[in-house]
Amino acid sequence: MSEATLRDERGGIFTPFNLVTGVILLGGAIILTIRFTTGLASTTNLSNTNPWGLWIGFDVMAGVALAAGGFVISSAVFLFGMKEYSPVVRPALLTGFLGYALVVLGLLADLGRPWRLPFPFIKQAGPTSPLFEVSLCVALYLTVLLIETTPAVFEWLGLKWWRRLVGQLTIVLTIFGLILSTMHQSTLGAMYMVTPTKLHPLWYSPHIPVQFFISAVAAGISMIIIEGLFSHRAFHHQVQISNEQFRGINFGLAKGGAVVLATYIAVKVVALSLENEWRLLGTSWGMWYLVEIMGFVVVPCILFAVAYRERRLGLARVAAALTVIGVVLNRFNVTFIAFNWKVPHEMRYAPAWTEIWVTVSLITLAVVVFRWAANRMPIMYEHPEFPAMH
Amino acid sequence: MFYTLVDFLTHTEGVTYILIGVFLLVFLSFWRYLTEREKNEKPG
Repeated sequence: MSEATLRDERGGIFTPFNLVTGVILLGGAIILTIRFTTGLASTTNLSNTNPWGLWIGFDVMAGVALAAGGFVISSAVFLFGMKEYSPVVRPALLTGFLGYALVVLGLLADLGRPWRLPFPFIKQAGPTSPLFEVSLCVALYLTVLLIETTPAVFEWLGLKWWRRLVGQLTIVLTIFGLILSTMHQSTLGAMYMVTPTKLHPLWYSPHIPVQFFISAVAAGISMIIIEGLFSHRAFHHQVQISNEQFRGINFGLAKGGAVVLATYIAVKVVALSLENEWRLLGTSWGMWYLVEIMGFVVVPCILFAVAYRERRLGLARVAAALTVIGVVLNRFNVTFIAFNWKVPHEMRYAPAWTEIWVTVSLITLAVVVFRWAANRMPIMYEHPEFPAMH
Repeated sequence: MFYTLVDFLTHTEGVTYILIGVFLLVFLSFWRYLTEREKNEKPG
């Protein structure tokens, strides 16, 4: 990939993309400045009754789940020998790294006092708390993802010795990533095990850690399919794999998505059965629960299966989009929709426009950085000086 | 109506075991539907 070709594809500074993202990011920066100088009340609808809102529900809870593609695909390729998925490892790891970086930024926006971020590790550990486990695992996994992303950076900069060094660490890093992800994806759910009186019984379950982990795997697989759709179009000039190979990868992911979602359905039904909550399905909350399960779990599961069997790529993409929406909806339900469900309507939480703007800004920031990196580094293609090292 | 915890657990565990059995049977059919055409094709 020549530098001149890449420059042509990138265009100038004042492109429509840059202008739109610039306005969004500038707005986000202004809102965050107000938030950090005047407090949460001026920029959010959070309160003592509703301490967790969109920034935790989307940026952290959904963000971590959607960034699971990195550990899913790297484990498949480097630990289980599924080498046919190698071309999507780097985009998935970069997406994962950016996803986790934004989780930390979103968390900082919610928590405030960023200088206290290392306190769980150096001042007051609280090792019996799920929050401690989540903070430790996310910090370690973000570091693992950073190192896993560096091969592309070293290849871009021509640092052969460093590239060889991180190449030798691949298996160790992948094992670390798998263990850390399994731990914190499930522990994000475990945090809600202390809320049986606050979280609606249809969403509350002693098995919520397992549900969070399985749904995160489904979200990760779906995000790889969606990310592949956009990056295959946006960076088509860089993609080296054939269309047939690209389709094969997507169908393999669709098969995985179908099996994972089928397992998730079973775990959800077992949770309902063990708690004997069937009668609640007939209530208005039950209808909402069924919308989540039928519309965004059962339907995409069937669509993934049909897509794989009939080799219909469009169907696999629809299923992936539904799965992503479903996982985001599940995290919203657990974090603030079905949380505090007994609270009177006028005291319930709805995100302020400023919260939504900050969340959109963080997503935009991830897209901008991904685009910047993929336009310069060997993310979508194999570097000619480092063949067969992907 | 459940009068004791044992009543409750006997009922819910019993129903759950049946559901898991049904799920395993449904999953076998689902797997067969999913992979039926793989034999005639090269794996993706």
